[in-house]
Amino acid sequence: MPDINVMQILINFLSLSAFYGLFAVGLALVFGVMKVVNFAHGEFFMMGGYALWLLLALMPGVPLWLVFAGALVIGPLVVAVMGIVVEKAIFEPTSRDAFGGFIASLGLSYVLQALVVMAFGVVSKSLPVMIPGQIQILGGTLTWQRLVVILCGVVMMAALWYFLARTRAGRAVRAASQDRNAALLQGINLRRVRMMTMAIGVAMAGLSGVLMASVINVSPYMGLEAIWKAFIVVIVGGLGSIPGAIVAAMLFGLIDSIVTTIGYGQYVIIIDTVIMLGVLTFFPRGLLGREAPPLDQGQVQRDQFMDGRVCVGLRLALVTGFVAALVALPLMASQYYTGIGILFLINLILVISYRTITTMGGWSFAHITMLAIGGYTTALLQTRLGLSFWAILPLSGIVAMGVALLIAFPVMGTRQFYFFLSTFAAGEAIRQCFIQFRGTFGGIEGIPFLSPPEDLFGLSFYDPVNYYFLALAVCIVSGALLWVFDRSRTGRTIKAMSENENLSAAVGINGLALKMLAFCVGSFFAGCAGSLFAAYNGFVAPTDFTAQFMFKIIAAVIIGGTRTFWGPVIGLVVLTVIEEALTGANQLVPLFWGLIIIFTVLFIPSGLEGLGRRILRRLTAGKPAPATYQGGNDASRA
Amino acid sequence: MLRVHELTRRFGRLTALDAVSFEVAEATIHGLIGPNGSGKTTFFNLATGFLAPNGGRVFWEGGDITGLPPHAISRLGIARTFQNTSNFANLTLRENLVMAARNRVRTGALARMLHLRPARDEEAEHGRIAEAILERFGMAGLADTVAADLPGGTQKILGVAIALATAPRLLMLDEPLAGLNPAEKVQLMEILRGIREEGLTLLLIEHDMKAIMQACDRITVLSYGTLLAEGTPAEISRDPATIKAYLGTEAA
Repeated sequence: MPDINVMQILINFLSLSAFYGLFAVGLALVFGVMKVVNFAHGEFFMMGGYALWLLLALMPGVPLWLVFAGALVIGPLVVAVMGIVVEKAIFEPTSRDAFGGFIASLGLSYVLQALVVMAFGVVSKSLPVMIPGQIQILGGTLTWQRLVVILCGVVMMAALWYFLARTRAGRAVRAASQDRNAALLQGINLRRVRMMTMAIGVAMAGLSGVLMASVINVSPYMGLEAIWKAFIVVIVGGLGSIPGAIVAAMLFGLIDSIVTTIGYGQYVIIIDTVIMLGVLTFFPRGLLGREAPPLDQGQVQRDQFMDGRVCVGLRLALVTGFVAALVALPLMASQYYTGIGILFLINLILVISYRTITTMGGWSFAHITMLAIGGYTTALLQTRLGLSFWAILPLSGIVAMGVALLIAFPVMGTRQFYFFLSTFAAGEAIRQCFIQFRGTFGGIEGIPFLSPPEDLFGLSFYDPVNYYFLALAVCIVSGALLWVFDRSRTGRTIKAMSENENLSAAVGINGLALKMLAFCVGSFFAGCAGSLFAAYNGFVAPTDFTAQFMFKIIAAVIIGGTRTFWGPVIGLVVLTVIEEALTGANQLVPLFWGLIIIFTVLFIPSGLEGLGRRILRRLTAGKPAPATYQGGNDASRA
Repeated sequence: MLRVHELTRRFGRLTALDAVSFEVAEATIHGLIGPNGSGKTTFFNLATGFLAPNGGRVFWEGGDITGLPPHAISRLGIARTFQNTSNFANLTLRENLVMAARNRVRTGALARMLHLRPARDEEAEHGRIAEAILERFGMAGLADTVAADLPGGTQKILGVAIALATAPRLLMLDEPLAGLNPAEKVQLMEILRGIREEGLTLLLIEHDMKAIMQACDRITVLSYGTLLAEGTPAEISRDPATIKAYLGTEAA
């Protein structure tokens, strides 16, 4: 155990807290007024970093501190303008459907990343130290750079406090964040307040981006890495609570400072997540979160797209055609396309099981983590215990289900956004476990040399065509089970429960148990898919289970629509076709996916499946379908 | 039957319910009245597990049910409605009532998850119960209508039908008459009296004094979170404290 330098811990604590505070308070502020978690908050942070990098490149010869000072002003301003554009283009149109806005911001985050990759390249840029030098205080080292971070944090917090507490505009912001309708009745211009809030919120992200740019390298994915911390901070603080975000920023500043200073920096993500789950167990709305919303939920909106079934014959024909195409593929296509087909089938299991989770009203960000758990279970059971693949396949699902249950306990009492954000954090922590615990999971290289399944009925699974049919069989069995589950009384109860949780509780429906059930069932099949994935690849490595993979699953479900079983299937087909069409221009893939997500949320909220159903109905019945979309009641979903 | 003892709930510095004790007797219609903000709905939320009390206990048929989750309390035979209209908006009326028949389910979880024959048969049976209940509320012709398409008053009555579908022994109704037209009010009170005749117990929050005075066997009056008076309608209408706190303001 090294000497613990208390002064160093204190200095690190101050600078980390200032950074976390700046970054997370902006997110909390935006959530408070707009009731939307802005997933692209991290990308605005990244933009701040690139602003500094660009200024440096444009002004060679100018003293570094001057460029830095300029960037501290210009960066946040540019980002604020972008924030206003995003508010007008995305959040304003989706203001009646907070979850739609959130998903659109998820798409936006990938669009921004892809644009930056195309403009400036994937490679991360390392910047010179802006203000070199350091001083020693009581044995602790304080670099000037860090001092600037601390000062900026303090000044911004003070300015924000003054703005919110002492100015008319600030009071309007607070009023709007407490009660939108009451604020409207008081004659507050909600649009202006929203624009102002968005500008301030993202400007804070931009400012922290400028500040941190030379500390951590500037890269297109720095936002995605940083947003994780902001999520943890706002969850623990209580979504939308600014004092909560500050308290939580200081809490995690202290914890991270201690952990890093005594030399366990690599475990920070895991430790923070465990703390977050612990806090959620006892404070489901965060430390300083507001009281639960009123018990009597407003009336649930009529779902315009619910009625109208495509006739049985046509549906049967479409399904038969789809399955026939899947069967025919390896017999007709090249080996390359058989490989694509296997991955497609694994993704198919993932999207179908993911939809089962979404029916309970919570969107998980840990589905790919469940795939990873299934994969690692397969790898460990095969290499350590030498079990047969046929035994491992269901076991992988069961282990994934067990982990889902562990995560679910603290998280299930929470609602929509908390669930998404905490599964996001938990998923990242589990991925970190795979990376950090090298002895068990093989670190970043993962576990290599896995063998394919043992022969069955004389079929060797070294042959990709046979493996394809194995995947197809698993896929059809999983799909059939999930289809039955969807139609079963339990499945329908889950959907009704997510529509009106209070009434469900009042009629004796155990909502918590049903949510856990949906999460566990979905995770079970993701675990099984992980087993297929690992055995096909012949290895498992943490680099395969990325946020981008998760994004693909979410994108498929959004684009296809969640209302029926077939929506995600259609969405996945579309995504896969786009992906294959763009072979050779891989950077474009996330851009297209992101744009399609935003487009879907804004213009076809029922997804392609809903659109197709309406068109088919119009063709067959000749009756105009209802065209107006009445957004969901976001108060009941947030 | 339902008995609360010293039930207390605070919201910050506001004491919404302050050490309230009373009992609801079996097979009666019990009225809970009081000015707005007197703690009636808070009482409902405490008794049905939607809120946890800061002090005091709730007893159901002698057993302590304080702190049980809402669904567990529903399983014991206490049904409630909400002040707002509350239903599964995108389901038909029959589906709404079948969904509410959760307490009647006897088949195993696996059978229900896999949609096996016993579960399907049971659900069909619950569909017939649902139709019988709808018939009783004069909504038999609406069984296949989606709930959200109903007018407000009918949705309000649907709320009562949903509560009844849970096979309760105590029916707690939060302002069931609010938002109904006079004819619907008379019809609903008629149905409620019929339900009481079958041995069910009812606890009503209601502002319609005429209906309360006609229908209730006993009335409890709350004011600013405290129990002001309790007795028969005749006693309550003569009670000076009640007249001062409640009827006085209404007469003014």
